[in-house]
Amino acid sequence: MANTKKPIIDYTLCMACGICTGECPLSCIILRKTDIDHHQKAYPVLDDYYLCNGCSRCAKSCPLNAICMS
Amino acid sequence: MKGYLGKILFVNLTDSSCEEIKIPDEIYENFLSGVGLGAYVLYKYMPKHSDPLGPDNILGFVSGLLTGTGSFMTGRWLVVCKSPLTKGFGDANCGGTLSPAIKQSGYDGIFFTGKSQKPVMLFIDNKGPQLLDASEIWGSDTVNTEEKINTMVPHKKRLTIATIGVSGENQSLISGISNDSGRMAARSGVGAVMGSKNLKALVLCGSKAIKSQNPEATKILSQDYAKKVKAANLPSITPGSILPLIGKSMVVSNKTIPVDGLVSTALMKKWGTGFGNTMNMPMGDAPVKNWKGTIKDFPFSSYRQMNPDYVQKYETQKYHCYSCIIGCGGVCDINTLTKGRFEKNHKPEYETVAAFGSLLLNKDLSTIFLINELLNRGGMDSISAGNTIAFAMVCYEKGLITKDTTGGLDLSWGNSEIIITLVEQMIAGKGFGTILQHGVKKASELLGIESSSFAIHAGGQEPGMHDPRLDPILGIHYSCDPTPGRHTVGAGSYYTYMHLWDCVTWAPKVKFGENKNDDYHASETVGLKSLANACFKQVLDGSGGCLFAMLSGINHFKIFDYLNAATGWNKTPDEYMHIGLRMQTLRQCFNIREGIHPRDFKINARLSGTPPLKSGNLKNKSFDMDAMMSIHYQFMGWDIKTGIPTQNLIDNLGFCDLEMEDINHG
Repeated sequence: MANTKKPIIDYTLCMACGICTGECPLSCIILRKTDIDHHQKAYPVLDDYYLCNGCSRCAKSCPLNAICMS
Repeated sequence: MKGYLGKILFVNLTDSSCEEIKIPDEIYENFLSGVGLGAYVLYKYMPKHSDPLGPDNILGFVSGLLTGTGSFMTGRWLVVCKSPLTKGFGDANCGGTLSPAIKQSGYDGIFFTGKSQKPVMLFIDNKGPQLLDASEIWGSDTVNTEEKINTMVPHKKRLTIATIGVSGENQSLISGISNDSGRMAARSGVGAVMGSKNLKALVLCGSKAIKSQNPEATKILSQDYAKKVKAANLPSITPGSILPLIGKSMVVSNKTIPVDGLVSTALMKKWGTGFGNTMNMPMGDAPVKNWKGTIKDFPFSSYRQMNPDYVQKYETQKYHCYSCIIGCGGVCDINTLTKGRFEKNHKPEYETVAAFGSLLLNKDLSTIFLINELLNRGGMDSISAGNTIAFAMVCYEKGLITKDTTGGLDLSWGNSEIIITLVEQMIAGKGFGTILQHGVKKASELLGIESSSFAIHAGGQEPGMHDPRLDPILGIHYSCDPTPGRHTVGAGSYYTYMHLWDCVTWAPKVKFGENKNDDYHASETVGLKSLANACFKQVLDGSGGCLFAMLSGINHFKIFDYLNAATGWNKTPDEYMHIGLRMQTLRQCFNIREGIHPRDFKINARLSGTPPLKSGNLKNKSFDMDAMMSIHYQFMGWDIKTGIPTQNLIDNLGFCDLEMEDINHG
């Protein structure tokens, strides 16, 4: 698993829509991060780094290309 | 690869059998998915004149056609059934995360018929559906139910759960279905139907892919829309205290000023629907004292407590439904407010604040936080509950009921502690709550009171917290929709925000400086606007679209382009509106088949200004509701007198394999 690519989220693009969290088959990504803007929106975070198997469904599903696998 | 899966699941709870049914492409092309697919299934498979609370009623959970295709603001799920409240077509919709979960289970819709002998829940993962015993969680509130199911059912992916609360179990006719810990699909009494089937919950855990025809085109549309929503902001220092002033300024002039729908988006981003808490008061949009009062009865000193900034003080984070880039919801810390009874809840929506604020003359915001949570957990519709308590307070004021009837409760206006007690009794089905738990119409019947002048409902459904005396087209939809009493179908103001005329050839353009009073007369323009509202709302509900995206305007939220990208159909906006007309007409035909007389859905005369109010912004405002209904029927292609779809329209629209000759034209 050490070489598995993990999602990296670009918060300058992300709009906190939650599509990625709905797409993740293992619920590794959840909406939690709230210090991005003054609206206190919950943005996605990779909650379980080791559970993530790098399937990249989150990245592919993001309409704003805010997630890359690295 | 067209945004839909092409199959539904039918679960017979009587014999615990499950059957997959393939749905041909032409059904989606004619009815979309969501409410359209739901109406198609109900019309095709439900025996005529089924008892709404009997085993023959069909309860369907349907996803939107656009859900999961990469489009924004399209994550709403629809629940359909025959309504025990109106005895006609029933539907309710909600955001949250259930809509994609339905499709990820492999189905566009999950339909239940029959009745289980014992409480059950349906669990679906990638291996398929199975019915599980739910006796252990029967009696639990909606939030606890979700928590318990998460410990009972092994899962890899986060479970997505729709459930009823105690009021649904008690078959309260104003109960709804909850997901995401208290977000409600509340209308039409859908919770009672679920309770009547002994179905406690729908539990979804699938991760199947949702594919669309042209995902790159969808992505471009989403990126374009996201840029606009991101830029739609009020200055962060804008205080909530300015909202009454804005409300007042909106009604100073009789001239229409068409504004860009992104203004509503900016308001939603900052306050959610709460901006209406105070803004709608001086406008006269928010009802006061069972719709008879005015701002004189609930002046600034009373409603100032509802300032959304005060609500936001308790908000710890915003809440987004799936695929939402606005984020109108919020999670609030209510530990102190509820004296440790509850820790957190969904931020009260405007509808709840008005229903338990101005409508009851209750100026205590903290009680509204508590009531909101009680209703979300109990699974009861806050709009209907507020209207019903308002009705009871009028009865009490008039001396038609006394403390002997109410079990010692003092139902004086604004008595917030008693309102809390009543809500608890209504949810539990105890005490005086047994009379009120089924809504205004039933309460009126049970009390045996001649109350036609102050029992406020449309065909049994209590209206949302927006006054048709301010916006008569809203009254048309309250009275003419197959699911009456809905503030979400359409209004003159919604029409102005939507900018449909930018792409629908026949939709009349709202010009700067038009006289607002024109909307009080049954004209061709009013008929066309109401037709456009009704058709477009069906397209929206077939797609899983959000009302607040609709209000941002279709020049920004390009739903027709989204649909073409997802399906590859390449239809014009006019063709989609034609589909909307078919969907709406099918729902009306369902009602006719069930013996509904559409004219009976006319909202209480008080809401069309009979008699007129004597003060406030709506002073002496009135309109002829019968004439307004006629003009709407005429433009829909329904019989102008009866509201029954004409044979000519039915032939013109075409309804695939449905047997439409059942319609009684007598």
